[in-house]
Amino acid sequence: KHSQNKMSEIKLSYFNARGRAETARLLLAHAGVRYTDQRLASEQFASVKPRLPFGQLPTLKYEGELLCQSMSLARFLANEYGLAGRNSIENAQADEIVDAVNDMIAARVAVMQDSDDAKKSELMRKLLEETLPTGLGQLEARLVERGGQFFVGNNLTWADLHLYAFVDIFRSNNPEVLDGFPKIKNLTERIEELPNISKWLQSRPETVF
Amino acid sequence: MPVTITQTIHLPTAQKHPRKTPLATIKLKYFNIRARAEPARLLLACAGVEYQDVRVEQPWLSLDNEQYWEALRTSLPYGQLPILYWDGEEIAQSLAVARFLAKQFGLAGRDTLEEAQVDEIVYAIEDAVNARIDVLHETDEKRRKTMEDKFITKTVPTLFLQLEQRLVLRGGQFFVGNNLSWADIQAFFFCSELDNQAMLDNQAMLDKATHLADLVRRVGKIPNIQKWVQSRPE
Repeated sequence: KHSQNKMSEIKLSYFNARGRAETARLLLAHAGVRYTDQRLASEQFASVKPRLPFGQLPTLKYEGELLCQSMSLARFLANEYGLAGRNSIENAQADEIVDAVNDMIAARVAVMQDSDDAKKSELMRKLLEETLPTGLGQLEARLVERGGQFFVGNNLTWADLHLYAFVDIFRSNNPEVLDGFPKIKNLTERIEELPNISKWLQSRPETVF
Repeated sequence: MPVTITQTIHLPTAQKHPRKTPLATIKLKYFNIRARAEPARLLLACAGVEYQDVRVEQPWLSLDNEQYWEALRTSLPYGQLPILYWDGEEIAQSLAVARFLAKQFGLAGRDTLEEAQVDEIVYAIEDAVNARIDVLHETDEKRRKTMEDKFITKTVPTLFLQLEQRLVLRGGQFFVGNNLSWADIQAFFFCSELDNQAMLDNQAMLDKATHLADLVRRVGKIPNIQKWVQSRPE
């Protein structure tokens, strides 16, 4: 149910980055909900970390409740704002897409975090030329199977927004990432044209990732 | 003999998936015009489902057509079209047909409140749709001109303003539940049916109704709706 929350009642805390918080931010933006978009510097994080349930960000403070784990809090917001699918099958279909996107994110993070420079460029090549195109191809096929307009239930869900958040970060360094995936490309364009999303994209802080 | 055009609509994105059975056997029957069947056709297009788009030649175009129609209408529950056959179940009354399809495709609202909010927009638009049809049916030239002027200078701009206010109240993106519903498709239908004169005279009002104009534009860019509008019979 769409509630009118005062700004102080919803607080999303993360680093000054898109990363693992941007899907939640897109959901909040789409819903037109006022919230505190808290961005911690490294020192601030270091001092709060011992007090965080899992020592990690993002966290979501929602009407007194502290939620952790980026996907859980995003799913929660999706449910709150009617973007989780209309029944349990659609819920699962959305989760499936989110999980598939997260596999690609994990592959990308693994390459970024590998400290062995010699291996890194080969890993990056494999990521860009094999892993990610394969993953995007599978998602494109799923999208086509569902009618080609949205990933789940022929209407917008958080699955579409999560895919968008991933593409948005990926194409900062690889603008051609969606070449060859026309339905996904069209979907991302239509997401960007949603008034609230468009406003958010224009007004959000610019970050490297 | 009047030709009844039957086409089976296969939209490019209505992929036949080997594991899935078709949703239903669907047949929509109307005259070969848009008018009271187009909301249903837009919903079917958006959903990307296969259906038979049966078109009966307009009775007013020839005597043969008229005779065919007079015979056909005796078999219709209210002597009118459109009529929908869903797995053989017959449903008449254009708004009932469209609402049924909207429900089948998850575009009628997610609970009873949203269903009512969708209906509210649809009925508000229907008043204007009916006003326009009254203009078209008026045979007295002078009276027709007066009704047409009223439609263009009062009915349409008033509706645009009212729809804009409702849309802004709901967050400005969609009429109901902050996501696409039949209400948005109906607004697109109405705006795209306005003829050149009505649109020209009301462009200024539509320019002021910025959220409504943007919504209509976005609905028009939904792939299946865009394809249908480009490919439907003239």
